[in-house]
Amino acid sequence: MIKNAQILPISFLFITLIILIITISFNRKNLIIFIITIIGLLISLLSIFLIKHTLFYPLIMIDNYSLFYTFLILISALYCSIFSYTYLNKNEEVYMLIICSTIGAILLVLSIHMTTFFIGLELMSIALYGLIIYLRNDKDNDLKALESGIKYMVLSSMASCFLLFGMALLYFYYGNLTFTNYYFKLDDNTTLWTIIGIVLILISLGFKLSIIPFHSYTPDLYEGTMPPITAFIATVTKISVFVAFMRLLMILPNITSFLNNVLTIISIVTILFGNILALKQNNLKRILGYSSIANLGYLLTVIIAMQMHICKFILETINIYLLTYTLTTLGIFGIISLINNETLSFYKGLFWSKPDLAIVLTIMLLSLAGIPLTAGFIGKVYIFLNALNYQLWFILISIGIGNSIGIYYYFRIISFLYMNVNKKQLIFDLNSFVYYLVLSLSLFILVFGLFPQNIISLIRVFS
Amino acid sequence: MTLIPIDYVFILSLILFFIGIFGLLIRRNIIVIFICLEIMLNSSAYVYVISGEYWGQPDGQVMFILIMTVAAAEISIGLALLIQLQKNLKSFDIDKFSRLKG
Repeated sequence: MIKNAQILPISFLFITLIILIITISFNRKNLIIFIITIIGLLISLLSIFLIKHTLFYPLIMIDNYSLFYTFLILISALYCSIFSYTYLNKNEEVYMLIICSTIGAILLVLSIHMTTFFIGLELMSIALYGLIIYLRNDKDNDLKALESGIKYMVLSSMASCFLLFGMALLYFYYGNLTFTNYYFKLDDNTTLWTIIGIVLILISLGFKLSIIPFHSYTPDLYEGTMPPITAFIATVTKISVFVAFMRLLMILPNITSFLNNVLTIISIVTILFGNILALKQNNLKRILGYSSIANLGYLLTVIIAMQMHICKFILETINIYLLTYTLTTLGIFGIISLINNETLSFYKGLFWSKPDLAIVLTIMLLSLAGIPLTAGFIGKVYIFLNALNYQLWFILISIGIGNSIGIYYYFRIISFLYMNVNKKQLIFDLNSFVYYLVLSLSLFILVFGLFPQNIISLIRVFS
Repeated sequence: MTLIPIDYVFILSLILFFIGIFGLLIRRNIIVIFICLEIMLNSSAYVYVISGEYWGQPDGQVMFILIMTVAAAEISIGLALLIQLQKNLKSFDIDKFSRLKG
């Protein structure tokens, strides 16, 4: 019997990475590399079920909460590598970079020490730079990818510097780098430097999560990269950074009421403007970029509630919301990478040429908009209940307004799908994996929306 | 022997940090931007070393070594990007990039 079964997922991923590097060096067959990647990801996915006890090292902590997110990250990495197999046919290095980035994301989710936090974050984002600037020998797309890559790289490294500086100031004050050994207290003895440190950490995480004053690179990033990689950015990085952010904030002091007010205003602005800015876009990926900004604004509500009183319900909310968000985003990007076009006008009359794809896309968009009978509705209900429980009235109003604006632009896309226009026949391979994967995702979203009770009770185990 | 007050250290590293930020915001040459990123990383590494010394722990220096490795990895990716930039645009000016708008 293996002694420490808890770190099996990461060690299997490392073994896969080494095998991939060796194989790529002498055998550049796309299919073989792809199969090795999928097998490695599946084995580490299955090894999660072997883990029974929680593990508590100085550097990492493995409990049910982090295992749930490890599971979610591995699933989205699996989906993204399958999307990229059908999207680009002769590029092997993508899988290596995806696995490298996944290891970083899992390390980030497990971290309770500032070194693992930093190393996980950097491992994730450095591999991601390579994925974003993946050139495809196509002049126009290459320039876009380069531009978005430079923007992301400079801003994300700057955010890492902010994080490091903030952590250094906190380290000076508390003399300890772990998140758990000490409870931060903001009393009268607190120096100015500590407060500067906390603010710097919050700014850097705002950059990473693309919350509104720091959001400007997000839509460009979404537009410039290929659809499978955009799916990876929209799910894996957002999940892992948010979970690590939660871990950090559970230990950070009960932020003073001033900072709490600032967070409230930021969350209101993020919800409203994330939705308003999406109204006039004509590119489907840009719309999804703004919608991800708005979604993280909804999730910020939970953090503000957490400052008042922490309970199981908040963790459950985050679990359910991130699960529904991940599945829906994966589905939409799967369809975009299948159709391989992102301008909105291309989707006019999709229903009349490919009815099945149009119906699946409709289900996904309804779920993002939070219409009943889909999974997104359950997540929105949880967020709403949270804001109601903690009497955050301003946020409640802004969620209402933001959501109704959101419904407008999601329905604009849906109305494009069902327009009656003469349509050239689309050419794509409907027998690929992606088609069935997207179909199963949409079925899962419908089942989750129709019978939420079973899945919620399953998730409750993990919170 | 008199010790240097610890606040001076913070003020020095904060000055370095702000030099980095302003350089990042003002300069348009991509090489200078990378230099500014290095300045920012190293200013925080400086605080780690000093506070590790203050508490008598090796942790600060461990963090310093980690920061050095990460900075090297980041800059190597950045230099690869710079070569692509030179190939495609024949210039290091990032203002020439303005395709993505909206």
